[in-house]
Amino acid sequence: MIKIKRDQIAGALLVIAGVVVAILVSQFSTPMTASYPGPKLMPLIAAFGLVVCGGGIFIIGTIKKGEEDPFLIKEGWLKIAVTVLLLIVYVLCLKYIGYLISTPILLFVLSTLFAKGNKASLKARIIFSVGFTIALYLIYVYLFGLSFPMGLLFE
Amino acid sequence: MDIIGYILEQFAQPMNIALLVGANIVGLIFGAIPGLSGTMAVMLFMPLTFAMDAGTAIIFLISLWVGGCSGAFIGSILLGIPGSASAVSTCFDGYPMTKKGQAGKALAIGMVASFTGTFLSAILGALLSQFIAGIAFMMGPWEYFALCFVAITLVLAISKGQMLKGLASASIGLLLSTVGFSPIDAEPRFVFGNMHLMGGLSMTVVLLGIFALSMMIVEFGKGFKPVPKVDTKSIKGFGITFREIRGQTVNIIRSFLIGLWIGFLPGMGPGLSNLVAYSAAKASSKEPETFGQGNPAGVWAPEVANNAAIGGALIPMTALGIPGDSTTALLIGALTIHGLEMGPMVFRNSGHIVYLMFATVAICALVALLMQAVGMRVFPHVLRIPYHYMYSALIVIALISAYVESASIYKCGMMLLFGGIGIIMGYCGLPTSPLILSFILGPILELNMLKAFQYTGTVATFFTRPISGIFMVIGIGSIFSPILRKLWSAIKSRKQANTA
Repeated sequence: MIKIKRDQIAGALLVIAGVVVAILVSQFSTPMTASYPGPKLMPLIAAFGLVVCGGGIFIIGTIKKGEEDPFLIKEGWLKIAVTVLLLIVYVLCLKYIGYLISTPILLFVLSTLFAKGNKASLKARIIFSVGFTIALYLIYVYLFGLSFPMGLLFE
Repeated sequence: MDIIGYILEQFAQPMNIALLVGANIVGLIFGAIPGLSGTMAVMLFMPLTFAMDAGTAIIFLISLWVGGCSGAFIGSILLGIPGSASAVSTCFDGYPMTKKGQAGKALAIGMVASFTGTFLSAILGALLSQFIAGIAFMMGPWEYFALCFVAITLVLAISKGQMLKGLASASIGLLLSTVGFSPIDAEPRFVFGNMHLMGGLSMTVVLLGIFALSMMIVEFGKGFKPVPKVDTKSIKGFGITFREIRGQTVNIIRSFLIGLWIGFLPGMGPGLSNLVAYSAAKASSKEPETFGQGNPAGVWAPEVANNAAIGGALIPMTALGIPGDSTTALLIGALTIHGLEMGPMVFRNSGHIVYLMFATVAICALVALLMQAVGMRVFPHVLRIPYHYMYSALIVIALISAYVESASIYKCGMMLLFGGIGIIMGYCGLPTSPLILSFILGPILELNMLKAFQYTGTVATFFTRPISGIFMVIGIGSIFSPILRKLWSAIKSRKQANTA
């Protein structure tokens, strides 16, 4: 079975992104002329850069011999997926139940997840989660006068 | 406004002093801990400055930056792991010194060297920047475009063997900078009818997502590496004498000039200056074989150079509005929020702000030295802050930073999206520095390019005007430098083969 290398995936993604950008740019209404390139030129330069570099990275990845180190093992990807999912839930919670309820929960879950295999007592994690949430709130809101999400349910 | 009076007024405010010391400590911690950096500290805490006046914001942000640069040597010396890219070569001799039981001496050298580099570069920067700004008045959009172009391409030139990936990263940055209404023509680009995108992508959201959030998530995925134990018994006394400092005079001056110059070059910063200064110190040493085995000169050189780059980077930032490195690029963005546009006009409109920056750098250098001297024995404990608490806290700060910028949950969601893009970039091995620079320089680059076309209607002017022509040639040369280098070495080896 042919093993696809990371550089090949990177190159293909960049080329696809470049082509998509070029198509989107072609739909801009302001014309591009030799005497005044207008709003099309800069994104086109970026698209050109993506296609050329992507192509180059793909070719180099194909030519290059030898095994490459894996970026992450399967368990690592799982950890990343769980963290991202947690953060998505946190952002939704910020919207509906606000900072003061959702943040200590996230901090507790994250510190528990991140601490796997290390010493971190339950008491310490609870104190950290609640203490940090309150400290951050006091600093940002009262010291610097910024506003925090209070949640749609409590507004 | 009386400049000295304004600066004294700023430092007479207890809140500003408290912020200077507090931000310096936070910066030191960020600089010391491997994986974090002063740049990340500036990114994370930038939204705190939205409610501050310009003077306080400058003091706060610069203190974070200087603290971060000053603290980078701690991880290098005590763990052999650089706190950030600016202290990579400090490991080469700093860590062997620790292994020989000279950790106290190595730390003392790091402190004095950091102070010397930062303090002197601030003074020289303050003296030189107005002169450079005077020259900048002669520059038109062609020169500004060419300077921004060079700033981006020089970063690519130093991404060893990663040129294509660096260029791809810069292209992504350029592309992201074009989201929203275009300059001059006000054409909506890549907004897809979404009103949140009309004004363009927020710097905090993009950079914190791609640079900070993704890094922390990936580090967790890879598994946090345990920090080695440090022998605190070897940290006692100040460790160096005045005589030893005097013996390093030539090394200090040479490294200082290297750091100042590299910092001054657009796009270059402490990440490169420490390596060049270390190589120069080794090359000019009478005993080069002792380098890498705990030679104090190998700690002096990188630490003076990386800190000298601070003042050096502030010169083009203030005088030309072009960042010397990634952090000054962030500072330019942060100051724009406060209505301060860097560039030659800043001396005419708000000269007091520029000198406040240099004064803050000099005072921060002194504060950092004092805090490091007092807290030398605390360093090993700082390095042992558990990652599970630190990263959890930083992730929350990053997401909340996105919210406070415009009190919008939408921005938190956008940050998660850019966090995802950052993870993909990490998987693809794309470096982040070119993206940061091109994302921040993109709008300046495009505006000046379009203005130049409006004036002359031809691309040729970029090459026919002498200053912009030189910069364009340097920029294009940087892009093709790997190919040119290969060609040159092929010609050289063929010549050698012919003579043999």
